[in-house]
Amino acid sequence: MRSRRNGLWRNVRRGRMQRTLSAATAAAAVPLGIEIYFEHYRGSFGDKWMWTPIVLTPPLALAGLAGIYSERAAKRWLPAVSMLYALDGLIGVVTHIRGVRRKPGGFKEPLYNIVMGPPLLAPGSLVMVGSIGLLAAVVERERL
Amino acid sequence: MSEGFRNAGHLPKQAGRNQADPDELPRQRRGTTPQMHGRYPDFDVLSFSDHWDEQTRTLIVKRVASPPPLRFFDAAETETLSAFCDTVMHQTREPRIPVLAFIDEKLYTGRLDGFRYADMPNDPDTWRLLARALDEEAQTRGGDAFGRISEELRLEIVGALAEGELEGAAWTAIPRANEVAMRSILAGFYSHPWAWNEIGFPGPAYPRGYMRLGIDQREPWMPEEAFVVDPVADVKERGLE
Repeated sequence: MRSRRNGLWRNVRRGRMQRTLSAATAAAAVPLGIEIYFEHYRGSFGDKWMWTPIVLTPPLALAGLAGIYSERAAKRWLPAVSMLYALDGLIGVVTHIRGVRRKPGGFKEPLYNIVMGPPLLAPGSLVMVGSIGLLAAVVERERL
Repeated sequence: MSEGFRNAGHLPKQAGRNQADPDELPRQRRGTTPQMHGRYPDFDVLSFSDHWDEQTRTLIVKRVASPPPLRFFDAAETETLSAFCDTVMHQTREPRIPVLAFIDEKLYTGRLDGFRYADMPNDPDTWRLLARALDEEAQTRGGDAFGRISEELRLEIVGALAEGELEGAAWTAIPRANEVAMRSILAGFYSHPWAWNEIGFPGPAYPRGYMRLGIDQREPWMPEEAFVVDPVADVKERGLE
């Protein structure tokens, strides 16, 4: 047990974190996707783009899980889905800004519409989780 | 004089006799309130006009800038009914909200509420009959038209009207005159921004809406009451309980 923990620590210090980051991607994607589902449900899925982060979450979680067990998955599937996820986050920032602008008063009532409208920069969290997945693909795999 | 404003006791219908003096409230510093006293001395709802849409802004600003002209009532009715409106709303000096002007517009243009009491004439007739009945009552009690008798006598008459105690042919023709009149008076009074300043109402919530929907939360732009008397302590202190 002790040696195993030392092993993990050594791997982290050497930057060998592929499995850890794959697991982190999967672990972060699932609650994020659920949260987005509730928020977009509240927004009544008024735009079909609101489904995209929800559709992309299960593939990302699966790719992250696969990356724990297979180097091939971590280097091929994980970065591909992660890239989509991150891009979707960038698109999300744009659509959220558009959403605030479209509310009555738009940016002329900035305080009210930013507070009550779609959270402006929240889709950035998809970029963050996607980046962890991308990072997993390029770092070295742990040595056990 | 010292009845307080926390409860409804100062309202003309409730009080009749012992009316609270608005001078006990802070003097209005920004904006206008009836008689320039109120609980929100630094609140001017018209400063929010940028937050309303064009149509709303035009409509509301017009209520202050150019109240409708009197076209439905003649000069004698105007004198009587202005005095009536100001007595029931306890507007004893300027600035006053020209309540009768808004009622006149409604009656003149025929844009009524769309309903009426079965045992009452229609609203325009009711108002004319009310003016006549008030003058008759004033003649009996004070020997002059309603607009020219003393404040005390006017209060006595509107008090009796509210209690349904007035008798005579003029009054039996309009058994619910008080309800019909007060409905229009309150609508006219409280659609005016000066009344909003007085009660701290921040005006139409569009396009800017409400966001703090919990209990005991105030929107960031809402005014804070400057005159806070705890009614529980106050009533005990004055031995009114």
